[in-house]
Amino acid sequence: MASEREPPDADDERTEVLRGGLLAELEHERTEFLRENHLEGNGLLSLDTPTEERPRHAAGPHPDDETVMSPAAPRARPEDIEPTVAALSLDVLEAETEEEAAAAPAEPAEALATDTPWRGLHPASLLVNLIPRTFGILLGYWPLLLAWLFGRGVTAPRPEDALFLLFILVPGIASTVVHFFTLRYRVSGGRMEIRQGLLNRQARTLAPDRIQNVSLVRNLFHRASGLVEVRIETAGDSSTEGLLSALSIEDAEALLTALNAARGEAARATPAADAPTAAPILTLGAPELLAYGFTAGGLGLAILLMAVGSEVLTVARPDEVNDLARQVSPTRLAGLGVLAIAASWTFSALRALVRHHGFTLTREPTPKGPGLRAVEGLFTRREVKLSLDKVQLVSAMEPPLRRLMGFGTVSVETAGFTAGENGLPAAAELVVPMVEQERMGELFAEAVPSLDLDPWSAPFNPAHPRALRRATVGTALFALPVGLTIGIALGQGAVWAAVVTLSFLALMLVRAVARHRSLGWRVTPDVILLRGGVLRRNTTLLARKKLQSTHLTQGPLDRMHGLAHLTVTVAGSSVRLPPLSVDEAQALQEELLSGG
Amino acid sequence: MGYHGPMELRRLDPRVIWLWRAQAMSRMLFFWGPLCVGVGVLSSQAADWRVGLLIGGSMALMLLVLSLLWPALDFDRFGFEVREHDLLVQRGVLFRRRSSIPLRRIQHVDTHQGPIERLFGLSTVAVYTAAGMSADGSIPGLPTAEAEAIRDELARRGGDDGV
Repeated sequence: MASEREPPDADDERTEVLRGGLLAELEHERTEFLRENHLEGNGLLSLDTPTEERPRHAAGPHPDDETVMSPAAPRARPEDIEPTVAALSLDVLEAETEEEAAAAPAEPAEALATDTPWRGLHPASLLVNLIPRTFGILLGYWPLLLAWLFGRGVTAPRPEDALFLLFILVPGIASTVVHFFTLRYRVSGGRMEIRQGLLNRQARTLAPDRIQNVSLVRNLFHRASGLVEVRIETAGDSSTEGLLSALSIEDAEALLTALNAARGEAARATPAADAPTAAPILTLGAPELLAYGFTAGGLGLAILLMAVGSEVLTVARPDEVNDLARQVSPTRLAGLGVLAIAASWTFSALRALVRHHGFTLTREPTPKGPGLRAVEGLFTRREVKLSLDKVQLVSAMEPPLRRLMGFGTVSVETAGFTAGENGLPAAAELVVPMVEQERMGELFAEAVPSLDLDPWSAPFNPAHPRALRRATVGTALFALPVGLTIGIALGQGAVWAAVVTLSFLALMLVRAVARHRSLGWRVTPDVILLRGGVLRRNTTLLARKKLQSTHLTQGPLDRMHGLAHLTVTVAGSSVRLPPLSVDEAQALQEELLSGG
Repeated sequence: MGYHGPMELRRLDPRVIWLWRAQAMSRMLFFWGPLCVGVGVLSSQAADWRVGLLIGGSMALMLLVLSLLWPALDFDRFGFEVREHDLLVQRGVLFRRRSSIPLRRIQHVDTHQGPIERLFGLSTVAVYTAAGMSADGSIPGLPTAEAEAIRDELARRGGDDGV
């Protein structure tokens, strides 16, 4: 507020302005703010002036706040993001004072060299964002559109159609336009700040050392216009915190340089440096990708395709569908099923080819030490970079078909989250779709250098022998009532009920035994390794120095058998060890405390 | 065979038993009670009103006994300790849980007090790590002064988040 500002003796100009009245001072402050931030002449500035920001980072927690932060947790908390509709001029005043206050103690003298002025998105971003956005909206509404176009009996376009389309499209388009005109970002005082929004204004501050990974994504339109989308992920939040949907390559470079500099390291790795410095660790060609696609395609997709096809047919030509339905014989049905599965396989093979085209994994140094970089994609070029320092968990998944072919999929997870497909949050990870079994151990060691054994040849500890009995009892307790219910529900008499119950029980017992045998674990001074899964084998690796907490759990059945489960959590994931004896599990829990 | 008993660990304030009973009663009033009435009404429509009364009544009685008994069992099983390197929280009657949260991983600690807790003069300490949105460890039923002391000690000893 104005009263908190320095006394008027600071400079003559200020004194005069004060005498001239509050209004004049506000105007003066506004122009000064514009000049300082290189935003003159931007007519839209009044919409995106900084939102109120309490000097919390500098001053520490509010006195009556019951929350106490530990010293090493200067993470931007939700309280820092405060939408406000306060009057423009006062906002400007306040923001300026407090930015000075906040920046000065946090990062003295030389950090100012890393500051960048406020910048917006590239003008072409409007186009780049609008086309996919429109397409996305149409895709999202396709059942409604189909119903609208075919459900009314008349197929000729009518004027209302345009109105209907407009009704669907306008909100999405408007939000894209607002996003473009209001988004501003800068690096200041060693932190990245992003502001956006018209009615719901947001100000986000990201501390560079919290950044988990930075990905650069270029879809077809980005590539045509020479722009790039920058996604900045930090730990803990379930959305991409810094999403800059279209920047020019130079701007993206400048931003990354500033971020790196703010981390107190020399600027390196820029997006334009397309030529990898080191020889790639792994590249995938068309044969591997085709194999990946074939082993990824599932029955689910086939069923989905059939459902969509029948839906379209029903809407388009109801009479013909009825005729068809009358002609369908079991042979034709089987043929259709095979066709659908073949179609889904083809589809997923094509998708794998497009999505992971030219997959290349390289080592790349980051300001935080060694890192990994993956580039892939035919139309949408995806680039993921992460620092090994941020790796929380590495896992290998071997589904039955892929495992038969001697391959598996390796994912390297960091603690961040990213907006996945459909905007749902997905763990930020680097996925290597197709890795030969012999090389998976090598890849694990690449992601977690402290790994000193090959998980595919080193012996694992089995689950505790008593766990087999516990699993048997647990399975029987579950399978008997369920099997009996199914058997009785069939209504074919007592003999059938008994047969159904017993065969269900036998099946579940075989499954339980196989699952028990598949479990394995191993703890070394640096890492924890886990394995499990009968048909689809999963192998997980955690670095002990990344452990957040451990939990020993025990249900009534476990207690009867003197067993306990140890669950270990890292940021973003948690994994459960196979059942161990209580003493063993408790000793392991104590031992893990000392790791890392 | 259970874990090494909670006897050697710090205990909660015994008043927490009555706090939990009061909380269970309020759940009884707003959730379980209406549910019992609903089940009773449904079964009296299906059969006799006496059957309905019997089913609904016995359900309510069972839940009432449980909500009076369970807090005492829970209290007996609850133990915690701020040790040299970690915070240990152990609880659970049927399903037991023994959580160890390394002190240097603690991101932030808070204390809170609900309306019923305030009546009893008790507070809850909740400990958060970088692992997720929910508290990894929470210690309910501490006298407010003790809760604040524990909160400050944990906050002071927190450190590197390891993310």
